[in-house]
Amino acid sequence: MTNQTAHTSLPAEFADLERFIERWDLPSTNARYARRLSSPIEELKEFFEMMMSRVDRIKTFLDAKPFNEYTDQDRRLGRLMFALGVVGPAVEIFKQPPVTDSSAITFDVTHEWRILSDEHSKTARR
Amino acid sequence: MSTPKPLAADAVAAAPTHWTDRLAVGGPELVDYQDSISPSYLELEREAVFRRNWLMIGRDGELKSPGSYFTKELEVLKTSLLVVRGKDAKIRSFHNVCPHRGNKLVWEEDPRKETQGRSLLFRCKYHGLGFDSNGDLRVLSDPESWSGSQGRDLHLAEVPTEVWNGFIFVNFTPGGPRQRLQDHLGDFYWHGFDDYPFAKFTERVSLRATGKGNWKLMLDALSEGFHVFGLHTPFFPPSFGKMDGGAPKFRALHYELHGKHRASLAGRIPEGVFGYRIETAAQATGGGPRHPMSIAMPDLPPAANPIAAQDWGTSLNAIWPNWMFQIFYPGWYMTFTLWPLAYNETRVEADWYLAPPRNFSELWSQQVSLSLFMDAALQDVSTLGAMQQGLESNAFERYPLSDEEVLVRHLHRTVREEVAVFS
Repeated sequence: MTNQTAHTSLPAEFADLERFIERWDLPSTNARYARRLSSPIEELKEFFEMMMSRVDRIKTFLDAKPFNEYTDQDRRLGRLMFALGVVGPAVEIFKQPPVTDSSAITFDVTHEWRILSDEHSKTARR
Repeated sequence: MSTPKPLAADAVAAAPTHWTDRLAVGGPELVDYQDSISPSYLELEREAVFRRNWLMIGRDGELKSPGSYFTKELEVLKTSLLVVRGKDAKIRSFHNVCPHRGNKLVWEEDPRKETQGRSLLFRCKYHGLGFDSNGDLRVLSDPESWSGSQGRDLHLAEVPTEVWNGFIFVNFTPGGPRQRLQDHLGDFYWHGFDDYPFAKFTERVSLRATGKGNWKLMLDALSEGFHVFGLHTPFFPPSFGKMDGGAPKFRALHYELHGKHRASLAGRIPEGVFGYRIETAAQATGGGPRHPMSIAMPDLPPAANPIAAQDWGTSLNAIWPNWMFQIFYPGWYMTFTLWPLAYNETRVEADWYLAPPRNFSELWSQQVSLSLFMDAALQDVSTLGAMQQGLESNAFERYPLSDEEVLVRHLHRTVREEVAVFS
């Protein structure tokens, strides 16, 4: 997965979230979960609060067009929201990266939504 | 070894046994779990339960056109299945084994891993023999080197396969299934969910984990809501009530037994009750998304709500032996399958089937809901390992079960009856 450091990686209105791309633009639930487990809680809290402060605006923005008209920038913004979805329970419910008392177990998500995948979007018609 | 101290007589007299009595599953006597901590018991279950019942192994929606296939690993029966939609559109299952030298027929990269794709010819990687979707030999390598009809009579080993509401079942009974799938499911289930639009929930999310405990103990956890307010306490903020007062909120609305199968109904989780910001922002709950449905939902079939509960939230159906399907308000469903890898190890498969999201808000509602569920499921699968260790200590001979744990009684009684008949 390429790390876009150009300032056009996200829709212009959300340029202030560009700094999260390197750590949180990830292609799968497994990758997002691994990132959650390997990040300090302070980083999860900072990412959570910043994203939550923009969440309604992001939803409105992404709701405004059908998935098959999403650009790479739109999908990247969506993937940051998916990362928020994985990080949220750690920050709010468990107050630590892992689920309490779960160190021996991991889930493998073997099949999931492909709507925000750049590769899938090139071939799929929705 | 010790047994629990006896309760005061008046406490026992007042204890509710409504479901335990009504469903006549034996009780309120104590139970033992020797069936879950014994390697030799799994060997009995392997033959009595897994080799002689209909097993749910996937959905027909994964096989969209002729030649579509997937493989399914069934370690409990030491085999792998090749499931394929034929040119006649019929779904067939075969042991995923080449009849020439016994090589595994269809696999990619790692023979232990499942794969899927589309092919009208399955070529064995070893000597190149090829079989079609009917299991017939189509390519025989070096035909002149085969004497007589050996080699020409080769055919994949077919496994009886039937489909119910899109769910694919197979049966490995030597000599053929003892009963049709229709008879195994019984009258309540055979037509009971005909009108439920399973096939329209096309957005699938699949979770797999290995739990360090017996398959039946995982089913027990999924069969009662009693543990929700205990184990899953972190999901409930202080405003929801203290643990002692909170457990009654998770009593089932209703339980029913249908032969070897079990059903329970529970109420709807009120939206927003938990108050976590991510849930509010996403219209999400651990019990599923709460966005408007993109699918027109018919009235619930009576089998999904036999008591016509007004605040119906979910119908959980445990189909013998190791499969559950659970349908939820406002419209989606989940399945669980528990596959023994050892007497003390289980592959836990949880699959969500959701309506196709029409916009990002619906997609995110689904994703956050799944995220909440996955964290709760991690708690359950972690507990499975702790349960196994606790039971194997044999610190206690027998254990009590509350009225809300009536389905736990039914599962263990059913497996013992089935094993006893066989052995």
